[in-house]
Amino acid sequence: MSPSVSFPGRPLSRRAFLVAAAGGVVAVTIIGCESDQSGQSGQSPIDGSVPDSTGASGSAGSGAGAARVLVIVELDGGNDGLSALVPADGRYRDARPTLAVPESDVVALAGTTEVGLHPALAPLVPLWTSGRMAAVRGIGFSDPDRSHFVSLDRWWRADQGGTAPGWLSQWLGTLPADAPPLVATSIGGRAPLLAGSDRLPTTVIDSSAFAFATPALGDGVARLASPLADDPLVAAAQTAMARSVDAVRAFAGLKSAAADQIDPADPITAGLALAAQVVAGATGPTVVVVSSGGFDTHAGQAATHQRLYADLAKGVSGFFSTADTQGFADRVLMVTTSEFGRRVVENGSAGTDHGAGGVSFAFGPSVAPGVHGAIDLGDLLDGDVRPVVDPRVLYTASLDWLGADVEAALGQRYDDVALLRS
Amino acid sequence: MDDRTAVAWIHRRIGLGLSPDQLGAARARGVDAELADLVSADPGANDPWASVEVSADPKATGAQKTAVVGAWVDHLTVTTTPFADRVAWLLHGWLVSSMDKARSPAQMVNQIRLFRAAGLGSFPELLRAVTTDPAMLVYLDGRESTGSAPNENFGRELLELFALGVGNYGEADVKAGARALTGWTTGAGEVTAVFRRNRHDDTPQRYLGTDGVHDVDTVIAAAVAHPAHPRFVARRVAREVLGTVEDPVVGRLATVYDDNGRRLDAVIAAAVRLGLDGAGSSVVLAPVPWLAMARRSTGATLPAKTVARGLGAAGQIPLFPPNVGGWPGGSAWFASATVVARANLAAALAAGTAADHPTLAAAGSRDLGLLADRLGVPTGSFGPATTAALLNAPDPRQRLALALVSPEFVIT
Repeated sequence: MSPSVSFPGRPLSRRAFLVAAAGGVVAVTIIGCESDQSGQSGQSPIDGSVPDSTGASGSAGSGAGAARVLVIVELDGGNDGLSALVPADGRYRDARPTLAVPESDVVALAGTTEVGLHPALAPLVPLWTSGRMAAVRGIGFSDPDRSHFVSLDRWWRADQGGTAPGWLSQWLGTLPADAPPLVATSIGGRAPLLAGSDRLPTTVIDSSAFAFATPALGDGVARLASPLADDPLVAAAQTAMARSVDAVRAFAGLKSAAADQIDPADPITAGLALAAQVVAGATGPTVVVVSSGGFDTHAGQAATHQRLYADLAKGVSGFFSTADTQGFADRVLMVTTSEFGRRVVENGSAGTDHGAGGVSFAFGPSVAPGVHGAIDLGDLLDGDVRPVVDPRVLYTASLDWLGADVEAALGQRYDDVALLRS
Repeated sequence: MDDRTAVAWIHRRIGLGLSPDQLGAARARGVDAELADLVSADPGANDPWASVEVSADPKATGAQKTAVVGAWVDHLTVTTTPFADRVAWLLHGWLVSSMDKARSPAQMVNQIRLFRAAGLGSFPELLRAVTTDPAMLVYLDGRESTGSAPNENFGRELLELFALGVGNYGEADVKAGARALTGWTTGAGEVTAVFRRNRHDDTPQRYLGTDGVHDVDTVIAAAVAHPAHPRFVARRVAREVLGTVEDPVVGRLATVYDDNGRRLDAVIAAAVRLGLDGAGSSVVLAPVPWLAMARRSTGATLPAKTVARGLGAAGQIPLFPPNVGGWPGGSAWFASATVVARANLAAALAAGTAADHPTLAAAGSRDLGLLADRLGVPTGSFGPATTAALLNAPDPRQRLALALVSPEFVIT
């Protein structure tokens, strides 16, 4: 009997869509992915050691030689940075007469009076107070585009043009041919930031369905993959088949029960729970992308944010709780991305339209904690937060964290903001 | 390509595949007659949701939504007007709304009915109609947009994704269009839109270089009068029908568009004729048309829940596109999630194929040329890997399942 499928009818806009199977299985479907983050070495607050700043082996982790991991959480649709990281600025309240987070609800962050968190993000406070959280304000390209798709594309390709590969492809290409199939895993829909390499990421949409109905079926699919055809498109299909069979086998070895028990209404939480399993089982440097939609809040923004931010906070705090328990937290750099921020002035639909500068968060013991990037609500760009931090700052830190060649991937370093502890 | 191959190819590119019996009859009619018949069939009363409950309730249950999704996929498998239904499917991925936000099944079904009824005709008229379509008013927030504070969501996507493409408009056009489009709204679950004059800003705007734009009709008129519009439509159609094309092909299709009353059916028919002459590239079938074709080839049916769950795992649930850009195409469908989900759906179809079905019989005969023929792929097209995998399959149903996920069936 196949489980029933439910369609949580939630008011999301660009969206993530979840399939929940009765029996508690979750399918996270998402959609666009991307982005990044990263960090790098620094003194571990846990054991005081200094990780190798170029290296594939972190300062701690589960076992000798355990490798570094980059987790990218893409908030699809254009997250409103001003709602996530609320400025203590009267101009924000003037621009958002119905949407401003009430001052009494803003969650204070130790060490700063300039900003506070949206109340639904309160579960992140322990990460902040333990020095494992950073926020980057005003992130975005200096010549922003307000199209979702153009902006996503620029983030994915590190703004290197419409035919450039995803910004992590160069790193992917340096991995050994026999690297484990989950070394680049996208939980959600697709992973354009991982595209462009011969190495295909593993994509998981419905974790409960990521298995062949019978072992013989998987064997048959593997046979379809070899020998490779001359036609490049056919060969690409075959390569994907071989990769998929390997990925299914690797995936079967993960402890999957935990993610399957998560409420399907919490797609980020479900995705990050699965990500934690992938990371816990990783034996080499690994990138996991979790993407989820709904952040295109043109209307009814307040209720949507309450739900989405609660999911995000639960997912991130749960991930690090697992990581601490299992001893792999020091190997992890996690970053959130979104294609743009939103218009400063609210619209007439209790929402906000597409904007420019947004906010990214970074988590992990290696991040330089605190708030980076200064925005000025008195100096807007066509009504939007003026971008002041290039997204490639995140990529530089991420690639450093992975021990990758930043200049080979991005052409140059972008370290106007040092996101990793020095 | 030879006529025998061409007949099947047409139905894979702009139809929904053919059963072995249908394929035989189509081949007997010949390429020209078959193409003419295919593109001229009137969808008429052939409604996909004639026999299921279509709830108007925005709080419809998962089971109600699954039933509506399943009914459409069933319809795509059995429809006698596959061209109109394939075009409706194409439009669903182009002029996008999603039940994820327009939560009422009735609103989404109403929009797909619009695509079926009007999708083959004037594209500017369809654009005008979808602008005030209730599901669209919900999905892209038009219903919330007022003259005092316009919402830019629809106005931006109209220019970027529906009519012109990036680079052909500016931010001032987005803002002006949003203002002119204010006033149209709809209620939760309603399938009619209403115009509220007190919510509309009728101030004449300068929009796309045209002065005096002030309402939905003048917005659409200005958008389709933009010189970039015909090539935008041509390129979008070519991408669906022909894959990757050269610029001259786009130019020819744009001319066809302008010379034929801007009807979409004319452009699509012209595109497929160019494809028969060698234009374009291979195309990867998306999960939904692939499933419809696989079902047609096997005669197998699947429960709605199995369909919805399988397509969900594959990344393509009808009526739930992931975002306003629709589904990604091409090699994005080689994602591992999709590979695995297709294999499981194919195995379920093979398990459900009648013992005496000609396609299963061909699989049982181990005559791979015959199997290819009944699946509508060119005889002899199975490459070495597929040939070895099929001959190695432990039984006919497994062989059939593998043939359905083989690159030769998935790529057309």
